[in-house]
Amino acid sequence: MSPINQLNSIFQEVFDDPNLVVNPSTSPREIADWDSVAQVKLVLAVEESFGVRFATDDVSGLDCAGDFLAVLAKGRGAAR
Amino acid sequence: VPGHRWGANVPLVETRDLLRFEEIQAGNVFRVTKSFGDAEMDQFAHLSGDRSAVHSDPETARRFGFPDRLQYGFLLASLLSRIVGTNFQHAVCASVSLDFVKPVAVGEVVDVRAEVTQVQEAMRSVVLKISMLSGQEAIARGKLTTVFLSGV
Repeated sequence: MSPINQLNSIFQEVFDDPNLVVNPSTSPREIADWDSVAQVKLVLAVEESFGVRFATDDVSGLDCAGDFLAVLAKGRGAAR
Repeated sequence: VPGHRWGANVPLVETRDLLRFEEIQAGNVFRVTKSFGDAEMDQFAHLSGDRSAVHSDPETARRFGFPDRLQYGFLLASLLSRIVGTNFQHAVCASVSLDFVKPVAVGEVVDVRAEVTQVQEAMRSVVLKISMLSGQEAIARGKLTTVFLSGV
């Protein structure tokens, strides 16, 4: 499964919406429920699913789905 | 708002004997054992307003094949609040999911086990795997996410 598809599955689960389709530009502007609690759940779910650990700098810059992909692409903290 | 730091700039009173976020590690296990009796069930009925017969009337519960009135699932869930509030310093629950897989009657002892499965330093959040047992039987399982507040 490609990273964007894997990320999409995580978004669908966190926002309880099996029809949700995200692209790199998807942000809280498009998803009304993307609040601070959802952000915590997204980070935890991405860490668990991809087996990575987000650093403080990574987390502070997560403003859209593409930012998650960028952190994953950097391979920061790669496998735990 | 993504990136929002919970409780930033809120002065907090330090409490002794509670674990700070920095002390929590994956694999830590927290437990509580409790038996809710009739009086506590009645208090919960009053507080919640849930007076459904299967929880409040033993005869009704027996008609459905249970030995006595059934404990409220949300009263059992309150034990998760106890685990957080009696173990963690300045932590709040951000998310809870629970599956109630087997009913338990009033007075039955319930053991709650919460194991730390994930610690996210940047977001000061901790994920706990929840299991509730009555004897050796699972009665509920789920997941709880806490966030530790950032104070000044």
